[in-house]
Amino acid sequence: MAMRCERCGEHEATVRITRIQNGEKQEMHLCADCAAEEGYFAWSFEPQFPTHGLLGGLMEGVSGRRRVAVPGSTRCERCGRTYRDFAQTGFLGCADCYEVFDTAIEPLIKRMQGGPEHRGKTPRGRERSSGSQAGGMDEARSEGGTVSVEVLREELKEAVSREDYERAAELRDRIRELEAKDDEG
Amino acid sequence: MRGEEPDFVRRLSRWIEGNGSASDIVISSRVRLARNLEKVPFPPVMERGDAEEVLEAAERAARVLQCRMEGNYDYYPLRDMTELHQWVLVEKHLISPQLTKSSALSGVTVSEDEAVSIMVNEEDHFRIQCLFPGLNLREAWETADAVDDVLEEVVSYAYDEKLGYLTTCPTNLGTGMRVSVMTHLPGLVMSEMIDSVISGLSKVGAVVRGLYGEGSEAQGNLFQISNRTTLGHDEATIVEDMSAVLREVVQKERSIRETIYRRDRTSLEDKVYRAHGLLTNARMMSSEEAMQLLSMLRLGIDMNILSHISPVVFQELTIRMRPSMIQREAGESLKPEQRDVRRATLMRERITGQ
Repeated sequence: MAMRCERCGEHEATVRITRIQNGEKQEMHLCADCAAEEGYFAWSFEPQFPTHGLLGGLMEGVSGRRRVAVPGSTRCERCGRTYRDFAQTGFLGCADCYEVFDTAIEPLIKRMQGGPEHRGKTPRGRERSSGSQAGGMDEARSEGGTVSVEVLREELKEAVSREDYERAAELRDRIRELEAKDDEG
Repeated sequence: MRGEEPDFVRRLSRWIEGNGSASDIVISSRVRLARNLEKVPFPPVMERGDAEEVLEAAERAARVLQCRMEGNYDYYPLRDMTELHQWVLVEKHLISPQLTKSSALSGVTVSEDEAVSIMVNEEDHFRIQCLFPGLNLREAWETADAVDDVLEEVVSYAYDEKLGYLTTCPTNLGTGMRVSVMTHLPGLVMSEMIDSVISGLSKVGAVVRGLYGEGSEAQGNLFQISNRTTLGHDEATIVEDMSAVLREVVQKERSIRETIYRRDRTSLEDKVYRAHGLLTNARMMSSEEAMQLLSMLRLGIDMNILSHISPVVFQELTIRMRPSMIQREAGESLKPEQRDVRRATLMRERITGQ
């Protein structure tokens, strides 16, 4: 008998997706349309499928055994995300969530990740345990993700040296605009 | 304007033409970095205004990239693009299908050679992705690192001293780096050793994905191998470890190919020539059939059974045979049967035409 697609429940499942993680084999049967929509034909992307279900399972396991469960209604004040939202989707809502839900995230990291602490790249000016080494580019980067006049000036210089005058004119206008705003404020 | 044909529609990505290290087995190497803005809620909870702020930052970043990096960088909001053009980006592996689901609020920046793409407002605010031919994770990482340096001048990232780059899903935390290597492993599949190799890989921190069609063989014998953890090791270590793991896989696949050739040369040649026969004569062909036959053709090329065909035909056709690419080339939307006809024509012309 033909198997139905596990996602839409309508079409015949013709695609079998197998994933083996930590020696455990998981299978999913989908129709070609659902497989395409879920991105399985775009094979160069992330292994999306069990990640989130798996995360929920891990969280239950963690909280069940160690009883460090965070109440489902615990809420991040900044973005409104609740712990329940996180447990269901595996997604956090903002940078602050990492602090709000840290007692739940910590054991999760222990089980899923290669170590408890970041050892990789650091944004300039935020070097580890060096506190306030800020300067140069860091000052140029202003809050809220807006480009600063300094960055634009540097770009302008480069545009002129490349003889890209159209771009240079655009930059000059933007710099004027920003400087005018500064004067007003 | 919506509908205008963007540059990426007509050109082919440079990685398709190139052949890097171990390119008889490794099709491509990708490094992606997940990054978020410090002050803006992450995509799953963001509101329209937040999303627009990120899109604006991405547009500015594209202009700075244009100044600092080689070649052109173009930024496109997805809402200015037709659905077909969005799917062309998906089929070229420049964006994920997920990004098209929120096309009103998402965007992408693509470099001229298509080695770099930045997805905007997917699961994270920015997903920097670098795609190189063959086994070349180091160059992919170095490029991603350079692009990241530029973005860092334009925006302030969500970063924590202990946890590293903060991501929407904690599975990406820390480096935010996922390396993914696309491998063609017909030898391991034919010899039924693939399952044990996959479970071995999972024990050394790698995740393997294959695409299975009807029956038990992975479509096109293609497997994507990625790192599982993103926190706890630095980027260079992840790149080195994964490269070492991949060299091992390449070694295994090569030696099994030799064994198959020695033991059962006629049957292997038969498979390759049958695939070549079908690809150059069939009048209708489904994606699944084409993937399987292209895999055999490619194996034949790599093992010098077929010497007159360029190996890059494989990666080029596995992209150009996809439904949206076929319809883009046809210039109209087509029913599945019509696509099968055009797909067969594409195979015939590309493989015999060189």
